[in-house]
Amino acid sequence: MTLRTRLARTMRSTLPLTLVAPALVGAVSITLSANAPALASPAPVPTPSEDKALPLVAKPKVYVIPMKGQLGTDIHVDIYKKIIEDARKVKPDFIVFDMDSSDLPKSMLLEDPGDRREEWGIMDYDHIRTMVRALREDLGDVPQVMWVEDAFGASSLVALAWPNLYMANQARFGGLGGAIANIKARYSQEDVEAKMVAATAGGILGILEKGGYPTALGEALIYPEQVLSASFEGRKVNFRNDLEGQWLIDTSKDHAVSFRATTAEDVGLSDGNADTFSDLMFLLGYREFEQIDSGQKLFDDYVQDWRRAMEKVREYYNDSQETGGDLKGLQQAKSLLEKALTLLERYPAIEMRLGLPALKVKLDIDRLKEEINGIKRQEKETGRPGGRSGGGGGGRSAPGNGPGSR
Amino acid sequence: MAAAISVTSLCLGAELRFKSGQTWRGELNDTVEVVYNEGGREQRVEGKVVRADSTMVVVETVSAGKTAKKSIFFGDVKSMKSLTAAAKTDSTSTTPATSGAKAEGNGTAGATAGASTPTAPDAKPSDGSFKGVFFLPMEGMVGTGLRHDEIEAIAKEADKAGPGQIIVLEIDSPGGMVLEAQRIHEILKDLKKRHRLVAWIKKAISAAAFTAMHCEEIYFMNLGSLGSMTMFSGMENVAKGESLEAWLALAGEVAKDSGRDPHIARCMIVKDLVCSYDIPEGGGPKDARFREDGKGQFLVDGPDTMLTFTASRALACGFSDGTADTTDELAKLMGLPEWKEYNESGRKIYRDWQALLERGTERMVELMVQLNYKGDTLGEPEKILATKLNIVEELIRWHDRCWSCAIKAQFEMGVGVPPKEYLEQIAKDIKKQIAEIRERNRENARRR
Repeated sequence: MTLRTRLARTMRSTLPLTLVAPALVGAVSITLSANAPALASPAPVPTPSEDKALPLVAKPKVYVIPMKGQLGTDIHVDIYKKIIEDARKVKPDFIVFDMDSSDLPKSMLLEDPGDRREEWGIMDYDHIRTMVRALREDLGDVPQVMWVEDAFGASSLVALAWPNLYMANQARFGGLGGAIANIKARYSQEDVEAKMVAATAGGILGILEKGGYPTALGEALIYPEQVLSASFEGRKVNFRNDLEGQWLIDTSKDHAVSFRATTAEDVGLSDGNADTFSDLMFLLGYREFEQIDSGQKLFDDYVQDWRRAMEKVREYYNDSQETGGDLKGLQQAKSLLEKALTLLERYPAIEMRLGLPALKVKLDIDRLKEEINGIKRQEKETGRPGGRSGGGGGGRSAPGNGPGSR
Repeated sequence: MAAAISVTSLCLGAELRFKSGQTWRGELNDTVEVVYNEGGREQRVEGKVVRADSTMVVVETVSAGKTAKKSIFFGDVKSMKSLTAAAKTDSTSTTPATSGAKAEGNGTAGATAGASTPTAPDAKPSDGSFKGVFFLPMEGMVGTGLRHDEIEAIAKEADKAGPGQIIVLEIDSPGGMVLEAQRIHEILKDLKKRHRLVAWIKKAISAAAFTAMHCEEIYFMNLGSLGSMTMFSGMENVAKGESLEAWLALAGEVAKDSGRDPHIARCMIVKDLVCSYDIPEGGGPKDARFREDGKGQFLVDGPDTMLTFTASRALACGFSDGTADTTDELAKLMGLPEWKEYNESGRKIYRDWQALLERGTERMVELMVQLNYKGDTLGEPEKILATKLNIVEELIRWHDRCWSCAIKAQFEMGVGVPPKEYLEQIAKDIKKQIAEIRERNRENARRR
């Protein structure tokens, strides 16, 4: 915690009630409040999961693992398995996860967020859990730091799986209100909805617990109707889902809480703010360091490769719809789909992004084979060239059903 | 500390020190007399002790030929004495028992033949006879990835090594079929009588939570969650009336038999229920006393939510016995000298089943889709029908080999596979059609 934060806390604890901190417009507002005991408290907060202390060396070897782009595709467990292997070989003194993954652009007034909806993070909790476990457990013997350049949406959930968290000054995290709202929209029966909501919330809160963050904070992040306040016992922050804490962080029952870097630091969620990697190192106490970029390279190559492959799959798939219905056209379509299938099997991110299962393409190929064989038989029997009338059709999807957006 | 309990290895002797200062030393299956408070009155029960730890004493009684279990909260026990010669009662001593009566098995804390285990996290095998745990990972929907068949298979493996083995079920499941949960219930109920059952939770929702609650010991991974057991079928048909009551009763019984408060299970089923707890001064999570209102010291479940535990919440109220992310950490919490697996059987059962499930599901989906077009270009009706028949017969074979594959195809891949009986009827019809075509062809040939 920085000196500024400590000073701010001391100052604020002596201020009168209902003073709204002016610097928090656009994210959350913190208001001081009287502290009254409630009947039943939430259960005790989790102990932060054990994390290795940063090493006491003059010039540490720092391995950077990027988490940039879309969660679920760019940020995918498959590439991290390779990066984990590389990091093990390098034997760094510690690891920095560099997170920059947001559903909404920072310049929201200039861009329409809906324009890039297909780039929004994919809320696949099983994937997130698997990825977090792989990184936290398989590299568990190496100290780890999460540095958030921006994380608005599902990615903030990933960031909160790390207890040592730093943020850039313009960084945000939150935007998780849709997680529960989406579940609610799917079910009409009250008890079924409650069951599915509780099951989803349990999964999300479990990820936060991995980072040692309390349930009350997690609930305010995912439930629009949950308010959030905090009380301080020395350096310890006690979050609560009522307005009885010393600081009122989110009094709204209409939207889930989100944080900007300053607020996050003030309430002790982040350990400090750093705009550049060098700033971060300085904040961590290192004037000199050796930055290992091999993980960055693996990541960049992977992102470039799978995205290029995705464009190819789109192209192959769309072209396969345009070929003629004669033997030559069907053979071309089959060949295009076979190429698409190879790429789909190599990069699971494509399937996740396009919603185009490899099995579907495989079956389309099988159907084309069937048609090709039929035409060949027909040609053999009649001695005339065969084919489908009108082209298209067969096992192939109508253009509207092909790969496009999620 | 409210209670002192120590469980030595192999002999499985336990020592309990009650609030009154009285100490009982004995073994599971001893015949005991317990004096306890209930509803402000002093009560007495005599029977076989099947559980005795710092949370609960459970005595099995026989009355009019019927066996019943009486669960008594540890804090309510005033005194307990063994009526069998093997055990000793001591009103002052706190020395751990060292009974000579050894159970067969691989000698770990609390494991004993014919009785469920007292969970003593600090209990360690001491004589080096620990041969390892039987570890079964279970992943996927209840009814497809998590099934009674695999539990039965690991039980057979454990039985080969004799009673008193440790079976660890690693659970990662979003829930599933109630029918399968019922089958699992029957097996686990029986299995826990002869082995020490442990659940290690990655994710245990709905029927998977029900499965986990059969185990006296539940450990969570940091990312773990457990709960949400509302039962519904089809398009959100929530169990009501008698079926809800039966489900509440069964889940409550399972929780109670494993030393947990039945109300916790009920809160996982009905949204409106509330649960809170108090921890007596100086007590720990295992001393938590649950209340069916929100007036306790700590709130477990509010009136608007269905209860789903995370690792820390489960630990705080004693529902979980610890949090472990790795097998080494788990071993430590379980009081084992190290993480050692008796053999590879559990992992092999898991791997083989998951491979078959994946292959079978994909094949069944393929076959169902192929049923729509395969053979259509062959021209001759008999050939077309013969191709369809081959597909239907392969589907039937897959049904026999892996009925769960059909369920997975439907629920996880959105491709409905008809029941086996229906497929058999289709096969019969196709065969009939083929026979008719052949007959017609023969007729035509004769006419020519």
